[in-house]
Amino acid sequence: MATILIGTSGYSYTEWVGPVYPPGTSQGEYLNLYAQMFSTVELNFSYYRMPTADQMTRLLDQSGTQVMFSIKANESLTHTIDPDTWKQQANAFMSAVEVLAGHDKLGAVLLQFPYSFHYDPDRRRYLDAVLRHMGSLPLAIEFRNAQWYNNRTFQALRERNVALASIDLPALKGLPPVVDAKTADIAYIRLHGRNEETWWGSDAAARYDYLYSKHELETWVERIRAIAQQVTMIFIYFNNHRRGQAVANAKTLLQLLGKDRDS
Amino acid sequence: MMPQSSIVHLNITDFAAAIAIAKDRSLADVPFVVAKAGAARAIVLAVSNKAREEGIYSGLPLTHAQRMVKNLKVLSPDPRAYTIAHRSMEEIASTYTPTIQNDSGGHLYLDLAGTSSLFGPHIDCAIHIRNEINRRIGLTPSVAVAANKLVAKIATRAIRPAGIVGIRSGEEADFIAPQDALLLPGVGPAMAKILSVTGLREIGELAALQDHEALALFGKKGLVLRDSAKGIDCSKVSAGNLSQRKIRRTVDFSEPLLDQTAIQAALATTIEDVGLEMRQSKLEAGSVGINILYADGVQTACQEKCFRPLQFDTELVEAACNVLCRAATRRVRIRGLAVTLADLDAPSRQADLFTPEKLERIGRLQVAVDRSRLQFGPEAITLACSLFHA
Repeated sequence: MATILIGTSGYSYTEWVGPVYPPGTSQGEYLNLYAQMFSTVELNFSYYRMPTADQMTRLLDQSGTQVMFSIKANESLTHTIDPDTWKQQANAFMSAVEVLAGHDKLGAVLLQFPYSFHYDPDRRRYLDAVLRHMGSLPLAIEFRNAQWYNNRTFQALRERNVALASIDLPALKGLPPVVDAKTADIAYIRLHGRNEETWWGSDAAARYDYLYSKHELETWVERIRAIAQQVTMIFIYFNNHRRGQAVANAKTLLQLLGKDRDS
Repeated sequence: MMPQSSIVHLNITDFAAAIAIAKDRSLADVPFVVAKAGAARAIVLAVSNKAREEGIYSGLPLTHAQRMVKNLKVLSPDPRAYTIAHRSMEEIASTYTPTIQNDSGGHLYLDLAGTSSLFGPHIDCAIHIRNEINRRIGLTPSVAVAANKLVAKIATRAIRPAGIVGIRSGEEADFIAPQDALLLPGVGPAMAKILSVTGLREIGELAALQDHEALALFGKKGLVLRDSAKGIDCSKVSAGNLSQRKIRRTVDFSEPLLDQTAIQAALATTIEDVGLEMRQSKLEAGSVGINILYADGVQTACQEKCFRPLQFDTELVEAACNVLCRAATRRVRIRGLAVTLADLDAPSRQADLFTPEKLERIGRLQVAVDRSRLQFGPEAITLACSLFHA
């Protein structure tokens, strides 16, 4: 049975002071407090700005090396790809996360591709190249465009030992179907909330303003158990970060799985 | 609110190998095949994951497989274990829905329509069933929930050897379009060759063909193929175990008969009818049964298991005549008879739905006869021995 680690996508939200962190908590204390609740976190600031080795070292210190980090790839590798410079960007990203890997605290690197990343020959070639280039790292991939959910993609990811993220989204046309496909030794699960009304055409705050019900999480327990039979480690992250709802849901899921923070 | 997709397909890849591993976990990391080792020209019936990684596949001659992997472990088929596993899977599923189609080879179709108030969303229920099968019998099916059996089967093939897929109602065509055309049920080796020559790789490319293009490329079956590629499938989940399903026809004589030639002619005509239905369903018969109704109201019956599965009219007629001889124990005029084909099963090799594989002479003849009968009616072409009845 796999080791299951549960956390949230990001931990550094000022609006969490109050609902999650005690009033008066400073930003530098967030991670330490977070580490007392969860054993893993998905870093997502790295999507907006290229991370550095120094930042990673500081995060390790702040977490007391109690947290396993997954990290979202920079947008220059997934959303704003420049054919001439992406390898330099990838190298910069890889050298930063090497610090985490060196301390055995790198869970996975998440490559999250947008809806506009279509299943066409150019993008397939790029994907092949970037997965080869970053192949020394544990990789997970999330597609928002349903075209990628086909047997050739699954097989290609299996051959490269890259996890296909299982994602929880609203049931909207064009978004990916429910797919849990084992393509690597690890599994990666992201829960984004199910806001059908605000998914398109609103800001991230509204999109991810969602609280899963206990019943919705109970149904995930069965899926997680099914996945756990096939992999060695499962990373589960709640991205419904608005008002600390991700924390509440992550804690509930831990309880439902009969686990504590250190599971 | 969109209606929920309710058809579930549970698919255990390489069923025979999976059963062997469930019985002996140490086999999980061993390359092995299931085959009748002593048989002349034995072929590989099922392959373990490790053997597949070595390039071995079902249908490969066993001697060839043994050359590919030294000391390849060869397990004999265990039909009893397969039956028990199928029964167990059906028993688990039957606590969630009465509508179960239990096909052979590790395939189970369920229709969960109307069960969500009891068991929640269909995808959750399907996962629950999958986990229960895993807990109780150690098998790990791929699971798909879709609007129909065709799309659900394509989905489990897409993620095999294991995984879960839920396709929202209305998005079937979108899901299957980028899948490999070889995943389309009914596409066998012969069809694969045509696809390769035409350069059509994805199901969506087949779905986009115009009528005249489909007909030009694939002949009369082109339109069926094209519609399948669109995800169109109106077939229902046929409740009951495939092996328990039967194809039956009765014939009542206008006046009671004693003449053996006339009775056998009627029997042949009836066999042609049930045989055609059986082959249209891509099945073969494991046994033939005859019921006789005598003029005095007495009935007798006899059923015989066949030495090997029967597909063609000539072999079905021969078997039926033998059974008739045993059933007709009285020298009394016969008022009517019934023919039953039972122990039905899918042919041991994947049938090519759209373009038949190269068959032996008798097979080719049967295909031609069936085609004529379907197009011009049952009287168009018939066995000579049935003319007496006609």
